[in-house]
Amino acid sequence: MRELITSIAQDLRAGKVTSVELTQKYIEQINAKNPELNAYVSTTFDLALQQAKLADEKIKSGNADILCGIPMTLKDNISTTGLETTCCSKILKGYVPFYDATAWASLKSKGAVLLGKTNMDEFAMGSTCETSCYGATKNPIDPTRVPGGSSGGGASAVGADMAVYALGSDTGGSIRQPASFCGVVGLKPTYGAVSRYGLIAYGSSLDQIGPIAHSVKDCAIVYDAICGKDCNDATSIDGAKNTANNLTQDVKGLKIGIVKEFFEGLNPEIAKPIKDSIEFYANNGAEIVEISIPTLKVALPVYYIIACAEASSNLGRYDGIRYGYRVDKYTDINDMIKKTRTEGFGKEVQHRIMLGTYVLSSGYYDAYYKKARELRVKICQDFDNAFSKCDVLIAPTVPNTAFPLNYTCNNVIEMYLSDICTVPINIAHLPAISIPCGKDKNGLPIGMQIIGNKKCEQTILNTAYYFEQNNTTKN
Amino acid sequence: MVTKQEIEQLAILAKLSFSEQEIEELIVDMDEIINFANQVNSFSYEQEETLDNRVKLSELRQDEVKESYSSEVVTSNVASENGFFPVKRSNNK
Repeated sequence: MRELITSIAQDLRAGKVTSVELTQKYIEQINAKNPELNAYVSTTFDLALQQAKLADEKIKSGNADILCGIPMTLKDNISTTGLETTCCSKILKGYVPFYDATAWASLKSKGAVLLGKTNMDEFAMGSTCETSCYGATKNPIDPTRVPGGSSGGGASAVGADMAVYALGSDTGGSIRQPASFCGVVGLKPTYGAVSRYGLIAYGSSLDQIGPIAHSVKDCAIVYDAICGKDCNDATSIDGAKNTANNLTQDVKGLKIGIVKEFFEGLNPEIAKPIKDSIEFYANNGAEIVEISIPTLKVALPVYYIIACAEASSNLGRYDGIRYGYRVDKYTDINDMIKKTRTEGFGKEVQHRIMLGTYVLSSGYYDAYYKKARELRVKICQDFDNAFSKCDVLIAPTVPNTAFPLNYTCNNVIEMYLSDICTVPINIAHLPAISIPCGKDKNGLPIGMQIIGNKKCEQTILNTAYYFEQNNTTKN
Repeated sequence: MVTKQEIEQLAILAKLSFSEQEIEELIVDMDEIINFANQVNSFSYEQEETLDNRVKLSELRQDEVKESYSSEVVTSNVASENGFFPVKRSNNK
């Protein structure tokens, strides 16, 4: 555990290091490690050094935010004015936004130093960071393995000390799962807590921007900087604020729910550190409550129906007319659009668009999409019920550790099954954080997920912080 | 089972095209995914309330006329012609 933001901020103010020096060190680290790990798809070193120089002046003036001068990175689906933003898809190559995502604008206004944009599964559709048009990212702990996805580039960059923190996005686990695979901390806020303005959409009722960092406190600091209602995002809310300054270390009386469906059939090697962690909380005064949420059995199909339906609509805008890739040869505009989309989208994206189109089509809409939305309501009600009995839920982040690169699944569904612990949280709009709690026999990190009720980021951060600060056996 | 005709119709709706081999592979993949998705129809539960979208929109901003992006900015990602997005009728050389 490394509380990098706080310690770096102290060093910057004490004059032990300048932001320019620090940024140069991170640039050297990226030059040394990125050729192998492929975490960054584009770098902005000149800009970063300019930002660092301005940050040093601001820090000297005594008027700087804690995040001022700290080198970081953004997932390549977060819009940045003047900087190419591609969602790691051929269809958006060359697209340069003319506006900043609100989350990035907030960090920029506080003096953040942007090192570059990180790799991701194409349009955030994937769990391995292998579907990117820029090639796969590698896990910093074992480069023969995936970093997870879709925010794999950000998690790998943070894990390999190529950035102090990263912003990722989470639609079905895409912050939490790579954080788990790379041994770092990842926070998915309550839906709406962070503006989605400028986040290139995958599933609009599921997407959420969040931080990936080395510690709970670092995640809290970044979350505090990017949260808040935004007039440009009608789904944004005023959620939990000022969490970093209110981190407490007391779990006495905390009610921790253990949802039995998350542990059914779980690999014992993954279950053990999670159960040891639960025991740690119990030994320190928390009350453990057994919970059952039967609708979790259908959470995965509900997620894939809703996410793919929304994706098929959201990705309808990519037609080669206003930005991005356009084919060279076509017979008419309809032919141009069809060929551009066919050549521009990767296989996984095309499959999800096709599934989304199917579940929304006449004759199937009621059986799939409408049904999935009804079940979504039921899943939300079941979580509401669970939170009437407990303060937080604890579950594995992922039922496995990082799998090898180019792992060939037996069928399409096998890869989707690794999302089983994360997607229900997106369905129910809840906040959740993944923190490292152990390692498997190969030394690969295992992540524990702490889930809270809506707008209860403080509670899950406190619970995670307590574990991080006091559990000495997690490694 | 998903039919070839359904796949072809979906491809038209999605503005995508597939080769014959890709369609055969897609039939297999889509069948697996749709069988997986069918769990939503075999799961029984009591629906206690009417459908509720659960995504509540916050207060919408006033519908006011404001300065927006210029056509130069909006068309900056293509080789614009007089503020338009040019698409040739046919470019089949």
